[in-house]
Amino acid sequence: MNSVRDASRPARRDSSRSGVAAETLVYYALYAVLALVVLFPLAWVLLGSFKNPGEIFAYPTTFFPRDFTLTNYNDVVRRTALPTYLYNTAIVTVFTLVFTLIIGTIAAYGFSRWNFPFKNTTMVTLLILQLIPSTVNIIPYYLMMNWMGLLNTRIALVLIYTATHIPFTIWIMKGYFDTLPRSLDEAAVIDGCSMFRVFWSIILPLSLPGLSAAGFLVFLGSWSEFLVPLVIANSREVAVMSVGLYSFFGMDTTAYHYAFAASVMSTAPVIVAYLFAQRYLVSGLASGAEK
Amino acid sequence: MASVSLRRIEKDYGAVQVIHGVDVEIRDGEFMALVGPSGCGKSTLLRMIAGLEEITDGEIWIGDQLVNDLAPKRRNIAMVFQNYALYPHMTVAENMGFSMKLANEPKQERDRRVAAAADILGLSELLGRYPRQLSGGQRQRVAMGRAIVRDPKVFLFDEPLSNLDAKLRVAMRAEIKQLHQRLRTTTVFVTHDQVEAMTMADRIVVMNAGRVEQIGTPLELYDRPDNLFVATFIGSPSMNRFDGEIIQSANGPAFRLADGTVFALPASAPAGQEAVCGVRPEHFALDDNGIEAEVVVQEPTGSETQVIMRLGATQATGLFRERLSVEPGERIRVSVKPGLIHLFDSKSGIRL
Repeated sequence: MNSVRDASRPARRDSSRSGVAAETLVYYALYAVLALVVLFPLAWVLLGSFKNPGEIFAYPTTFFPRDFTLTNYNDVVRRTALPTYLYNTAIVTVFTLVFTLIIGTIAAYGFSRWNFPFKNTTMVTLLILQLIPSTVNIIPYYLMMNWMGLLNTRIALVLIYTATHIPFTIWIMKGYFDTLPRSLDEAAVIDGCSMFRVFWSIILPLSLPGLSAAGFLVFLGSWSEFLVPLVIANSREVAVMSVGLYSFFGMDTTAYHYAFAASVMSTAPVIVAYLFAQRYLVSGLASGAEK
Repeated sequence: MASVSLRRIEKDYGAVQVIHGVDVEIRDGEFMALVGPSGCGKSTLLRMIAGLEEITDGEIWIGDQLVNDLAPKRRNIAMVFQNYALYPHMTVAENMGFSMKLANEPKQERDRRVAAAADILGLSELLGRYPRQLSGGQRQRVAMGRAIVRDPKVFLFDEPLSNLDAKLRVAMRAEIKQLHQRLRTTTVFVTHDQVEAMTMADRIVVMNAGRVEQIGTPLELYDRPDNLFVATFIGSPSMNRFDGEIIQSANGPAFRLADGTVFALPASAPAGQEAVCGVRPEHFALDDNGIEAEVVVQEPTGSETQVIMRLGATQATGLFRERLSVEPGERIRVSVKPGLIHLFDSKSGIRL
């Protein structure tokens, strides 16, 4: 009886092992399909940016460029206002990033460490504000910027972006600060730190993962925002990348070869920013503080 | 070094009062343990000495300075936290020297004092490491090193051993005691572990529900507890409690349990009232002429035998030096010397 049961065991183990392998295979196939769906358009744009204008719409369609060329990039940089758009976007994004992170993290630290009347109500209000789509706010933004005489300025964009990104920065950073033990603040206070020094010397260096996450989202948001700059700052001198890209799409013709090259150039900084942020997007910086 | 004086300290959070008029005098160079069950207010009291918690009423003096309104950094204290609270992004040396850096002490002096503290604690080889690269015991030592470097008037320890495993805890207990003997800095040590308090402290403050139950040396608390709470809190295994009344028998005062079991009491015992009788487990002795008890569980530890037994209707614990070989259900005879019996008022719990 025993020997029969023993003999059946390896067979059952083998079948369960092959079942797991088949399941894994299905998952990986699904991942591959999903990755293809996401990456195909990007690959199409990237490879298209190295094709001649004629090849983009040639039949039969080519996926890889037949005649690899950098002319599109050369032309976009020399013959269009793309460098200006890039410069404007960079300026607006950097200032937005700096202001948002400074205001957002300090506010988040306050929310995390102190109790005050209406604290929870304020936090929920911030969340609700975040839920209002920018389309709803666009007319008030326009009127306010007009009233302040800031239409068609980069300052207007920085102000609006900063205001719109602060709420979720507070939420993200508060969540992160909550994970840092309060005893660190207290130990620092006893060691002789002022309130600001605790924040600067102890809390902030430990918050790089949170800052990276929040920073990347702010970067992404302000780099790719379209509707606000289209309405508030659309003149050629102050236009940002998203509005500039839009200008490649004409009423009658569209310079797809330029649009592809410009799209790649506008996406590259986002990827670089992600790689930079990703270095710190790891938990465990605070490990060792406690037992 | 300095004395610490807590005078009529009160603390409330809104309508909830957690510390009720606590008075404690901690002498210069003394090792004082604050002990009590969870939620008794001992950590709150320590945090109030540190300045991390405001006091609602009363006065805190460190040396001859009233520190009620003084910021923690101006109180000249150092604190070791339960979870160590080491700065994870700083090396051991940076952690230990951080307070001196904030005080703008010259780097040379900083390094010298960090090295001296590291030497005392056996951390010299670890100065360049980060907290995450250290074991629990090493982190604990770094936390103490950070306190030593400051050369404070008072050391405050907030349950610093509770995160360590049992073996390491015993070792660190000895290290902290040794450190105190070496530095003679006034130390306030919070713990919920009465064994820790008994073995380390010069004197102990026993707290319960925000009040001080008794202050005394470990042996004073053990031998003459002021009330039933202290009697049962101090000592492991804890004191046995028997409810009954003090009667006047032919041989003098005696304690009679509800089931009729009788203990002889010292001649000074006030007869004619209901009371609680307390007997420490090790004060039971095997005695052929003693009271009969039924063995419930026998736990030999090698050096002694712990026996849980039923004395009449009451379950009690006895601790015997003898190696007993008794089975559950067997009967033994035990007695207690009258002078070793503690009597408490049955209503107030105060020592009679």
